[in-house]
This record gives sequence, structure tokens and C-alpha cells, in this order.
Amino acid sequence: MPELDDGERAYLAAFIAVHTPSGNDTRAALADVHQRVAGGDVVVLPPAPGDSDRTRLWIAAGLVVVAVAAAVLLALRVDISAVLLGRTADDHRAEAVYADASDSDGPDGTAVRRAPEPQSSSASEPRPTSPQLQPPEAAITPEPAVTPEPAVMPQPATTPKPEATPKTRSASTPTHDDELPAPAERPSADATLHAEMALLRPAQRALRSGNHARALQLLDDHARSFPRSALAEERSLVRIQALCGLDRGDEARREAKAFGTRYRGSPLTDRARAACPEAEAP
Amino acid sequence: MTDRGGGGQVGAVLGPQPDFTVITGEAARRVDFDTLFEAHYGFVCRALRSMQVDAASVEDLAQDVFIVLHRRLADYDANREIRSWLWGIARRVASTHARSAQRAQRRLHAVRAEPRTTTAPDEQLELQRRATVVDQFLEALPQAHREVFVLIEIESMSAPQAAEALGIKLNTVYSRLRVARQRFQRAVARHRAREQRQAHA
Repeated sequence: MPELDDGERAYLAAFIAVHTPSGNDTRAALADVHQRVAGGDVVVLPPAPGDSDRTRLWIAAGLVVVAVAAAVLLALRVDISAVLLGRTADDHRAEAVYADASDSDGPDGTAVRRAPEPQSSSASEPRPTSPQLQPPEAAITPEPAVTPEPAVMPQPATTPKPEATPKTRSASTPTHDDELPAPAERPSADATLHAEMALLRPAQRALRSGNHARALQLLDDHARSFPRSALAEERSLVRIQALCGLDRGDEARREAKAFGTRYRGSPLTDRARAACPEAEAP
Repeated sequence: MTDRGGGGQVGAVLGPQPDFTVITGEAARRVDFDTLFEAHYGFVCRALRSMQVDAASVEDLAQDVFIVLHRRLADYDANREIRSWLWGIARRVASTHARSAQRAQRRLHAVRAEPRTTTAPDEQLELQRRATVVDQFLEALPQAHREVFVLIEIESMSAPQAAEALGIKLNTVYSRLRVARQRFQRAVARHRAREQRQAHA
């Protein structure tokens, strides 16, 4: 383990000296903190230290795995729906033949032979999008008998088939797409909280600087923007203090009473009650 | 501003920084908020700075850290080193600040931030120059290594304390510290070489 010499440590000492506030700065900051605490200032942090990051990491890892798996399957030209549903290659081939038959129900002789069987079960749906339908299985039996290779081998080349595969794929992709907005929503929840904070803080500052009318105005803005606020208690407290500062003792008293009822057991109740001492006098 | 230590065991001054103190165990419970603030405000400011918080926002965010501390002081586990706790809070405050990047806040900081007038004599200038070297070095260092380096080399924590603060294994602390030290030594060597070249030129 390399040790730092005195010369190198001098650099660190310089960093400390430059970035350490003076005693006066510290005392001023302490006074400011006391003032902010007394004003009911709140600092809201994300719920858990690294949880959201970790969750995002897991989601990202999951998406990567899914993407890689999909790429591999595509490279191997395997139908994802077949993999997911556990269907055999024979089933798949039969379905493809069936699809061909229903698409070209005339000129192709082999197709004509198969078409009637599935049509009997689902005449109105010539090309079953849900591959687990019975007809394809029924079609398996005649398959070996019917010049299978010409019908099966062109399968990837025929135009209907490529359409069929994307369809099944698109049926499965939306589930992943549905998962995508979820991680994106998390930051938006955070962002809402920060937006709330950003609006509440100026109100608190206005209150501290004695601009009670401005504080009330900002609180009204806040209430309009965030009717179901996570910081409703803090907002109410600042409102009571602002009302009191504007000599609207009655209103402040009413709000303080309502506060006690609405937020029973709130740590801010005492502060709300004491916010307007005149109002408390019997 | 009162120092009502209440018999608090404030001591063990480690390192060159003037306000660096360790308050541990039951004593920490008795030490009041003001004492904690005065003892660790500098630590929190430096921690935030090392977390790449812009200089204009450091003081505001340091206050945020202590407002959180004030609210949650009753929950404090006295067996835990207070700076580990403060570091954790500072990290969350800093990351929230970085994530939110709210225009309103930035504007506010821009208004409030008064550039520190460094009417500096030579000595002050030299300090500033060296501090800038460390700033740049920390900025270039990966976060994982930076945290270990700052806690141990700048804040003089022990390796086990750093491991606790960061929630990582002791061996990881040592390996990251080794890498960070090597890089720091190279950064200082480069700076010295540059200074020498300028002196000769």
C-alpha cells in the first residue's frame, strides 16, 4: 500500500483549508439552520438510500437479459411464441402450412387439402393469431402424407410466414413495453416531491423574511398545484404562521384547530398551536 | 451558541483540520445539536464538495443535511460513528440535488452565491492552487474510489469506519484506497513537474 508523503499531504491540507468554512461562517450557518427549523423548513430525502438506484439497476439488467435472449432467438430463427408456449417444431410447421393454406386457398393443391380441416373449427378466423388453437394439431397428421418438404421448406421464404412471426412477437413485446414506463415513473414521483419542495421553500423564506402576504400567495399556488400534497402538514403550518403574521388571528386559530384534527399526532401540532399565541389565549 | 457538551466525550482530534472531532457512544446522545453542528459543519461542507456539489450550493446543502439531522437526532444510533451518519445524509442530499437540478433552485443559488473574494497573498494563492489540484483529482476519480479516499485521507477516518460509512467490505476499502492513492501521487507529481517547468521557463 503506497503511503502519502508530507508533500502530498500538504495538498490535502490545502484542500481542507480552502473548503472548511470559518468559525464565523459556521456560526452564521447555525443561526440560519435554527431559523429554518423554527420556520418549519423541511428537507425531504428519497425514501431509501440506494434502493431506487438498485431497482433501476435490476430493471436495466433484466431488460438487457431479455434483449440478449430475444437477439439470440432471432439469430437462431426461432419463433419466440413457440419457445414461450413450448410448442414443437412440428406444431409450428403444421401451423405455417395451415396459414399458407388459408391464405392461398385455390391455386396450391396441397393447401386445398388441408384447408377444410381447420376451417371446420374456425371458419371465420382463417389465420389464427393465437397459435394454441386446435386446428394446427389436427393438421399434423396429414402433414407427412402431403408432400411435406415443398410445403414446409419454403416456409421462411413465403410471404405470409414472416408476417405471422412478427405478429406473435408483437404480442409478447408489449408486456416488456409495459414494464418500461415503470422505471421512468419513479423519477417523476421524486420530481413531484422536489417540485413541491421548490414551491414550498420560497414560501418559508418569505415567511422568515416577514413577507407574509407573499408567503400566503405562494402557499395558495402550492395548494393549487398540489392538492394532495405530501407536504400538506408543513404547508398548513406555514399558512398558520403567515396568517398570524398578517394579524388574521381568527383565521390562524381556526386553521390551527383544524390542523390538530386533521393531522392528529403530527409532530408539528405543537408548533401549529403555538404559532399564534394571541389566538390561544382564552 | 452554547457548548453544552454535558460531559460529552469530544476529542480525538485527528488530522490537521481545526474542527475535526469524533463524538462517539453515549456521549453523542448527550451532545446537543449546536455542538454537533459546530463540530461537523466543516466536515459536511467538505464532504459535499468532494461529492462534486458546486461551490455555490455547498452551504445551502450543508444546512439541509443538518436540518435532516435535527429532525432525526432522536433516531440516532449512538453506537454508530456520527460522521458515518452525516456522510450518508450528505450523500443523499447531494444526489437529490444533482438529480432534481431544478431551475428554480439554480436561479436561487445563482442569486445567493457570492463569489468568495480571494484577495489572496502568495500563500493563499498557493493554497488555492493546491486545493484545485485535489479538486480536479477528485473530480476525475471514480465515485467509489473517491469516497474511500476522502473519508480516509481527508477526513482521517479509519478503514473500518470508512467501510461502515460506505457499507462496503474492509478489503474493498483497502483496494480502492490503494488505487486512489496511486492516482493521487501521480496527480501531485504531474502538478509539481508543471510547476518546475514554469519556474525554469
